[in-house]
Amino acid sequence: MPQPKRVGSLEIGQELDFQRQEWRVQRIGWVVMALIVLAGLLGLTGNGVLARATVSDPAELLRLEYARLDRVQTPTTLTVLIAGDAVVAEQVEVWVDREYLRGILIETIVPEPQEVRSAADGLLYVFAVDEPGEPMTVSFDVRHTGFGAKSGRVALVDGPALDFGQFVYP
Amino acid sequence: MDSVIRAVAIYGILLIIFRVSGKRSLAQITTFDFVLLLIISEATQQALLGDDFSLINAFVVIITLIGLDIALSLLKQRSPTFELLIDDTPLIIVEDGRPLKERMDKARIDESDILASARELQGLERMDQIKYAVLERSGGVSIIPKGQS
Repeated sequence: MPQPKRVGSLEIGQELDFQRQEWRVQRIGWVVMALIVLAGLLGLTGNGVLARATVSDPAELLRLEYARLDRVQTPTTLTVLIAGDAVVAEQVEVWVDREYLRGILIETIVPEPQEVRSAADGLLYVFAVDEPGEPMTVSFDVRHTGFGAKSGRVALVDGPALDFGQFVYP
Repeated sequence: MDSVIRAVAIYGILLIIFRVSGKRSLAQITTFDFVLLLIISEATQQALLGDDFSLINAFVVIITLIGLDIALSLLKQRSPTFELLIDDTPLIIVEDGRPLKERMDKARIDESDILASARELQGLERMDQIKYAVLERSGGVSIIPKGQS
């Protein structure tokens, strides 16, 4: 405590000037806290309404739904939507870049891929096609292992590629 | 490296939050305040340990936190300004039986709180029996009854 001063008959370490400044700073602090709560509610701290984003190619053959703002070690989903026109053969191959995969932990892929092959700079997930011409949806349930700004790329083999960016809170 | 940074970050964030919330906020006046404190500690725990439940992680985190505490206390000894920033200061809220309204409003404490403290600590009955009431850093109110010199 600061050196005790004499106030009336009390010896006390009171500092009125500092106390008044402290009260002012506290009020500013409360405004900041309220803003943080608001940001949390709106999803700006990850996991919420304002955080979700979609990116697709001009021909709308491939679309990715992801969270622009995310959190470390929290379940999150990447949804890849493939248009019916791009589903021609018996198999659909989705390529995901290796750098991005290094920063996440994949928990589940729905539907399960038939095969996962290692390709240049990435992994190829091969999915069986039930009805050619019908659109397909593939979900990756993942957790981020590293935080910070990340960029990733998802592509269809011989098809469009989508780049996306995320910021992962620690 | 990760555990040390987490521990430092949590220590710093908690320190700032507690200083900004004021003296009375976590003073544990009611049972609910106590429960709130427990919940806060629960919320911190997960962030502190992550998914690393090894002994070495626990040791590093605990030693980092205590080390930070010691380091801050040494800095406080050296710099009075720093001490003012980190610790709080006490505040006189009743002088000679008269409550100091402006200070009480700013500190968010009212007369019944002061009287409750007077009853608990000194067995006093009325405000005019209080010579000084001081809002201490802990959020508690200490009472100097009249009739003492």
